[in-house]
Amino acid sequence: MDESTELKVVLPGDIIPMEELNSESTLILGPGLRQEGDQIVAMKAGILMNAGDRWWIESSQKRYVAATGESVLGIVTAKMGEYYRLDIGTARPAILHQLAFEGATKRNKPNIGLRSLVYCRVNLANPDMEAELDCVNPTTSKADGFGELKHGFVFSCSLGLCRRLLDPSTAILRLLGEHIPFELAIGMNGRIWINSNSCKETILISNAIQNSEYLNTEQCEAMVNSLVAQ
Amino acid sequence: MSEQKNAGSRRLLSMKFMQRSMEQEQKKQLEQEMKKIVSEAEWKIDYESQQVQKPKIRVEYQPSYLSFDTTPVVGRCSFQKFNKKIQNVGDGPEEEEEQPAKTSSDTNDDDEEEDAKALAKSMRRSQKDSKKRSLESENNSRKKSKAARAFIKPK
Repeated sequence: MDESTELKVVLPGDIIPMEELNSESTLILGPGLRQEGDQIVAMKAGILMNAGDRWWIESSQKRYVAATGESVLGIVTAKMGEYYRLDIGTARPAILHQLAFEGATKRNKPNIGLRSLVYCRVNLANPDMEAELDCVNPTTSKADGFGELKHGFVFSCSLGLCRRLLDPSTAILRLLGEHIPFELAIGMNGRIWINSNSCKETILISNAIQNSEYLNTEQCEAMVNSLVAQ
Repeated sequence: MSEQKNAGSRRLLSMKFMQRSMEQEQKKQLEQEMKKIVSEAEWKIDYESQQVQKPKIRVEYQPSYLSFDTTPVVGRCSFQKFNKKIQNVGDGPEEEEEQPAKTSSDTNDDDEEEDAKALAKSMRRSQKDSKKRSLESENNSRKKSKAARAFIKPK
């Protein structure tokens, strides 16, 4: 994905050198970069990545800030009128409309109790407002895995690990899936839900995922094999 | 002549019409002084020299990492047909019917090649540990697995 051969590590406050672009092309800045006057300045510490006109900083943090389009795992804290109030780890709780489910009508509302876990998608996120969620895939208008999650185990991890797990080239999930049947839901707010057949397998999977954050593929394989052999 | 004017002015001044005109003059003077004070208190900054110029590079912000990842994967997946509904999310061709002896390990985006590979692998595995296989087949039924899973969700 990154065209540069060497990784460039930046710290907050570093000025990113940009070649002179003609005024027609727009520069797309992702998380961690900001324009100040005529310069592009880094706001986060991490690795500077770019793909053409798109620049961003790969960093890992634990505090989640809601952004539109991301899938998150939320816990219902309150049921108010036509909305559920969910805690997704942001500063303010997010709201989920009771009709934002597949096939929900006024007479046929889903019955989600307090303290239950919902896998949903951020529909609208502003820095100053509560985020709005929904449980429908916008392109197909079907559930596609969103909705209430029953049983299982939730643990939290860093945001960088969650993003890497979503990437299909990360080996850890595939390696675990070869040995143990399980299902999981990855929330981009740093929460991961696992469900499997026994306590022992669930703990094994959660430990493996958490430990795999800084391991490469071979080390992951070795770790998974040693864990499964026990 | 001026003395005569002054001598008569004391009585004149005490008259109402004279006093009225004097008050008006005093008022005018006060107003002028107020104006002075106010105008001196108001400072005007010369903005022309500090006008912010449009930056040379046009920039668009995208707050989410999603727009920078090449492969959008749904974050919900199931391995070895743990959850049939989730297993089929994103799959194109229909998969073979599941037999308890031979379970194929799958993720959402696998091809049929990987299916075959996984089948071969599971066949090899099935020869080694039949006990695990039988356990898996038992546990695949929902009722048993519900009883076995009695987790307390953290937090």
